Amino acid sequence: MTAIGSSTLGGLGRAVLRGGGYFLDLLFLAYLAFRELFHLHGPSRRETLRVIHRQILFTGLDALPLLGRIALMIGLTVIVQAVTLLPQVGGEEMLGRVMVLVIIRELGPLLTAIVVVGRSGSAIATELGNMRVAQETDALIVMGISPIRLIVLPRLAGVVLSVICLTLYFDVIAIIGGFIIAGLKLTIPFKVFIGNILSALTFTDLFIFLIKSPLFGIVIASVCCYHGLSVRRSLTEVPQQTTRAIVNSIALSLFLNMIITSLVYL
Amino acid sequence: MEASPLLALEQITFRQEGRTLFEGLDLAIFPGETVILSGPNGSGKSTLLRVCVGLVQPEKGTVRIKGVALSGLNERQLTVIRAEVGFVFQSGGLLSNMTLLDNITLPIRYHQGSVDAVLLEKIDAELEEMGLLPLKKKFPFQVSAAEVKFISLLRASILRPAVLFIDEPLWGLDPSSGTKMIGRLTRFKEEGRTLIVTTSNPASMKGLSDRVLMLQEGRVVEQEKHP
Repeated sequence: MTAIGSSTLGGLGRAVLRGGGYFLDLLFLAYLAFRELFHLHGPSRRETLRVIHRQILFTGLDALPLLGRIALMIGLTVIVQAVTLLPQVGGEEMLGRVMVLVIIRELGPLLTAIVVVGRSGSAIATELGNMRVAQETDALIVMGISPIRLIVLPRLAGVVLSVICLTLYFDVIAIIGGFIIAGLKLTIPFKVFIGNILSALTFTDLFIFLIKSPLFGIVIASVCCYHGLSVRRSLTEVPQQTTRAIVNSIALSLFLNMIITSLVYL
Repeated sequence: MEASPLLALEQITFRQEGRTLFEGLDLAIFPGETVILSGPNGSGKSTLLRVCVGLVQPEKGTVRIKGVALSGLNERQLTVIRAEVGFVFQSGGLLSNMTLLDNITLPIRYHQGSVDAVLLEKIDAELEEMGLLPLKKKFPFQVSAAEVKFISLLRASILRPAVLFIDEPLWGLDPSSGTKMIGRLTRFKEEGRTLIVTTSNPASMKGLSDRVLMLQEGRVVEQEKHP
């Protein structure tokens, strides 16, 4: 083997090991947070729940207006494409199927995850990075306060619950947006439109929703907490780690989406 | 018979970024002592405090608090032992997303679930004495560095820990605030608390210390003793 070939293989091997180590670190962080969830009793419970509540308000409730607008636009766009094509092939009753296929199965969970990464994931990574630099996490440790319990667990729980609710909200708003166009162009009654969607929905779609949303939430919270907590002492590391958190959260969510869709529907 | 040390460092070796900060360092602090840890900038004073509370692990050696070696403890056991410790960071280390009052009560809320009215009154009295009561609903970024430092000291001392580590208490303080800080530390000393204070200017702490220790070439050298 040539020296170049050998060094390329060596580089590839190191990259694989680094990638593997990164996944293990993420899994370990998520495991530590989940473990705290099962030990959530005693005096620290109230304080932890208070932080979870605050995280849900920020990640879930505050995201509703933005996500609603995006969902409406996506619903309208998808249905515009559908109503221009389907009548030509005599498939108006396929509208419900298109909404289920495009919105509920794929775009709903994925776009919600991307919005949560952009809004909350970046905020989490930045906040934790700044906390590291300002020695706030060290202060917690010396006060006998577990950063996993008070920082990571609330963000994980808050993001997971928010992503589940936001995905549901996205689907509903996108469907309403779809109905506005479908109603204008095709004069389909709302009852028929919803009936189409409900009859197109299968148990598998519900299963997919229940799998994808929490998994995306876990990925976003773990990746963003991990990168935020990876900041050591310099403020210049904060934007670097935040960028990594955003890019890796989106990439991992897309990868997971591909794997789940392939496993379930192929 | 001499009392057993509250804090003992045994043969501590610590390296950071290829530089040896401590080599075979020994140190014993006894209950009720006020020890000033001095040395030039970069000599490792702050790092030594972090080693003492287990925030960083030494390469070799043992740290004992009340006779318990930190190295053999799991997270939960460390949490228990850290309840014996109060720590004031050079920059304060207050949580920026909480008000000053929430910062002070955080360890109590976390470890005891809630703060009783008696303790809240005591905190208000302490804040009043420091002239900080009107600021208690403010966030750390809305107050001065000196005020952050006093709040941090109050947070670290409110549960009466067995030992209080204070990193550069006069750093960023004007002369008037510095005098107030010295007064506060003197009161702690008179109450019989154990204090370990770092400073690069030991003269500024004159009268406060029982012992002045100097960090020199990775070891602790005793400079002065005031029995």
